[in-house]
Amino acid sequence: MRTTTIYTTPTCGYCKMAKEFFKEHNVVYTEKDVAVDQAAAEEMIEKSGQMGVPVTIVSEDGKEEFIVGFDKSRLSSALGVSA
Amino acid sequence: MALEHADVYDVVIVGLGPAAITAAIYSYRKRAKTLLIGKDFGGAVLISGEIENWPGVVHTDGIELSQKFQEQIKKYCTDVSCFDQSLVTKIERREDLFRVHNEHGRFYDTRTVIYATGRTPRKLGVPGEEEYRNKGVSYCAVCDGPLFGGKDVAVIGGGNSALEALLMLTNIASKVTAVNINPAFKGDEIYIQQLPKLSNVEVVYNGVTTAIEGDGKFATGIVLEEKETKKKRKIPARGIFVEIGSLPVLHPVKDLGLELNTYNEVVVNKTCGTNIPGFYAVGDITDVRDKQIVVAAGMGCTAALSVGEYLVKTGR
Repeated sequence: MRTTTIYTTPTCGYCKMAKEFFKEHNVVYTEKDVAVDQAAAEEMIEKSGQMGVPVTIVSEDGKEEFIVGFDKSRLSSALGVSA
Repeated sequence: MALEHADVYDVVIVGLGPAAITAAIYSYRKRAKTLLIGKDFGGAVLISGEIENWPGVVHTDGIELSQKFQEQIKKYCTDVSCFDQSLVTKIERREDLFRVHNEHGRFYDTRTVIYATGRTPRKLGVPGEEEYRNKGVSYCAVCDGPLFGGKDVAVIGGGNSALEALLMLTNIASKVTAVNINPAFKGDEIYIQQLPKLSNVEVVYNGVTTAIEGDGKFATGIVLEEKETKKKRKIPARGIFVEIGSLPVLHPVKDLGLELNTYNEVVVNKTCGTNIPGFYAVGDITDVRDKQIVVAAGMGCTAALSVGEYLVKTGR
């Protein structure tokens, strides 16, 4: 089963675009607000090796794909939807 | 091969910021054959944070305003014949028309262009800056500031962007060190007056940042030099926000022969015309004195109306 997690901050425009993209394509996702959730912030930085938001992690069959920023084509291919 | 009349646009508007959006609204409403082409709705507005000087709106923010721009465009344009959400890579002249190329290898021919690509952040150009980009070094406090809750940060810059950044970060970070290359800030009084009241902000004036340091994974601080004494100082900082201005986005038009000023901005006249007939420029890419949202929007309107006149004059 595929799970999608997105790390965001409230003032990040690209985070909002990514979430809208998920909504448009009926993608079920979990959002972690790294501005208030310190543990999530550390998790995001540790896993992605960087500090920019958004970071989307698509997990399937034990494999994780990381997409930093709002990259429509990479998100589409990771989620199996059309851009 | 002669270009078919039907294939040619009246105007292609490059960008998605307030200048481009306003130009598009006017063009769509004039029923000109219009293509709006750009990547991110809002442009620089999207990463602007709090906005309190857009007339008619006491308070909004960059995300909200950008969304309103998008909704307004959707009202007039609902398909790919009038909107392409891609980057423009090159604009060239083809006979008496312009050919606009997008990043996917597609091109559009047009009688006129309204160029509204805005600017990109200026870099410090010091060691460690590229290595730690997105690993502590950021050019957008609004975007990345919230990640540095309870940490020490530095803001480098001496204008309004730096002031806005440090006023935002004072509520998030444990300590903010502001490094200003000048002896004073140049910005809105409403910001400058707040500085002495901020207990966790230290301002270093006449400071030149000479390097970004890190632990191999993330940034740990900056090295600065005092301009007069040349004395060096290290400032610990996990977040380093570079707010030192911006440069015009010119690579798509570098071979067109546009007249630029000494700052590489496109020179425009009162009706947003450039030295190339049919080619207009608007907003922050131009030599307009004031790089402001409402000025950009005004120029977008003017350019769209100029396009209307030009098309009539050149026998559309």
